[in-house]
Amino acid sequence: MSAPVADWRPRAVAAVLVLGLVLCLAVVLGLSVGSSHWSGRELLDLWLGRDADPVLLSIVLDLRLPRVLTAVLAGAALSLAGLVFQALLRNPLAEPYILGVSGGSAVGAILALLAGLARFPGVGLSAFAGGLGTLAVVLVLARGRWLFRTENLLLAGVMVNAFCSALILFFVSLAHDSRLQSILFWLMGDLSRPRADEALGLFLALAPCFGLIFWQAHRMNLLLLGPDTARSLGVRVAAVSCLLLVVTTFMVSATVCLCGLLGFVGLVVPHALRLVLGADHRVLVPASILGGGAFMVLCDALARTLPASGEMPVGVMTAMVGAPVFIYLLRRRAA
Amino acid sequence: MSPALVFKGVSFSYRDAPVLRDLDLAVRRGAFFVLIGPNGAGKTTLLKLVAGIVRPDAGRIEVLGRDSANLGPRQRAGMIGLVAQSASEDFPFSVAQTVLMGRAPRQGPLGTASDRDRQVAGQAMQACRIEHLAGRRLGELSGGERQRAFVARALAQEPEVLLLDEPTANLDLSHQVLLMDLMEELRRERSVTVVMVSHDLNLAAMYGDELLLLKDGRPLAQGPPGVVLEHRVLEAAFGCCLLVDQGPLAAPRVTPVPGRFLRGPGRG
Repeated sequence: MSAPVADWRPRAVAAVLVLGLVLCLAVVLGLSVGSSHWSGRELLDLWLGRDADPVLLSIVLDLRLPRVLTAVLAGAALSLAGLVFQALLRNPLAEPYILGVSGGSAVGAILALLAGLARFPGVGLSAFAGGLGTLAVVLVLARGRWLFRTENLLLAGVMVNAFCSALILFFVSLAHDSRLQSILFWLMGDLSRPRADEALGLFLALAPCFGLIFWQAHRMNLLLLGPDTARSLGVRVAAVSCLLLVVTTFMVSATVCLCGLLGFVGLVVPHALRLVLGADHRVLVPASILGGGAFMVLCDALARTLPASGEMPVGVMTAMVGAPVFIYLLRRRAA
Repeated sequence: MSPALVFKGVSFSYRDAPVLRDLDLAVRRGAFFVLIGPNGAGKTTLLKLVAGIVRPDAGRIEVLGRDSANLGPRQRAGMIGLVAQSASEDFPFSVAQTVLMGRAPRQGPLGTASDRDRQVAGQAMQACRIEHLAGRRLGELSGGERQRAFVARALAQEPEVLLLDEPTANLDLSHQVLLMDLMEELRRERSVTVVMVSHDLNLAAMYGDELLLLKDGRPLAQGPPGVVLEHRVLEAAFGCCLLVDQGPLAAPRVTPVPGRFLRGPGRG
């Protein structure tokens, strides 16, 4: 008799195809909308490759393309980070922003910026150190008898986050210079600043992380059985957990360096995908990368078009969508 | 042939609290070995030492004739299966997916199932009588059904030594017997060595062919049920008044006497 178990591969391929299509549509939309208005006719000409308006072409290629690519990468990295934290800590509310990892990375980044270091590698390394440091503090604070209890983890995260915010404002107020406005905007999650070469750098930093996490996807499934059972199935629990935590924190700090604080993405996307696709991380890892990218591009498109004039930071959008989802999940858990 | 398990002078402590002290032990292959004793006696720790989840502070453990300290995690997983006590309740996978996870030690890192993996998982589900639940999520099942799914997962691992930590704790009578019969069948037909922690002395007496009574990390008695389940030894171990006679199936029968603690229940 053969067990009626669907192979994970067709499900993963189907998820990748569908979400890949969604991502492509989101990218097309993200490139098409913005604060300068163009008619549908002109946009259609552009997409079909007919002789398009050179001004529009320049806006799309030079201004919007790096921004949309950065949004894809940031959304992918943060969603995947949320997925990994939720699996490792066995806590559905874990997310880089809520755990304070994003805030810690921001503190590291700002310290390095104020010290006048270059964005790469100085600011990047400093942000990574800040992220790892806060993660370690939160995990030590939340340590229960044998696992991290939900309430402890959330409280520790909130407190560390508050402390990081205070530190950030303290440093910013010490700075007294013209960069103040841009730092504050960056803190709210800003995708308008990155250039094409920076987006490419972010891609080069994140791509190996994506691959590595996918390689560990089935071990994340096994870890959900509990550390003892996972060990009895041959998983090096401590090594795998450390590797995943460090790689994930690296992804988060790289994203924070370039785009600032984008909260709740890692909460919304993995939960939505889990509802549809089930719990298998071999499906969820690629799905979170593509779905997170699409989600962020759409949030950014909204952030650029909703205000009557100008635009708002995309972090405002992600938080406005994400905070209600967080409250819903928290209540459902308490019920 | 070397014994399934050998402990030589094994000691273990959590931080400063000693759990096992200088324990010597041999379990022959194909035994139905039941660990009994009061809470906090070190029974679960003994299973964790065999499973390689914790390492002994002193002494040496041999599994199927090989030094446990030299076994890699996957090698060990190919020999030893574990049904742990605190299985998570909201486990988000289906029964079939869970059982297939038992094949992980024999699969690549991504855990892609071969035909043989599916076949073994199917047989394990059949043996535990949960085929009809294959597509259901574990979170939707009753405690007993969930426990059988976790046992099936361990069976799919095809271990030579199977460790179980209080596997009958959440089961009704018929499922207790089903599970114990299954263990007996594994032992008889596939010469699997079954090592089980149990608080049910009567089940231990009926199925176990060798019992180890632990208290405060030391063995109080070891041997066949008739030797270990002895009135004086049990009262010393559990600290409550007990009657031991012969049950209707000829196994020793242990009956606690209500309201008669000798010196209060033991630790925990």
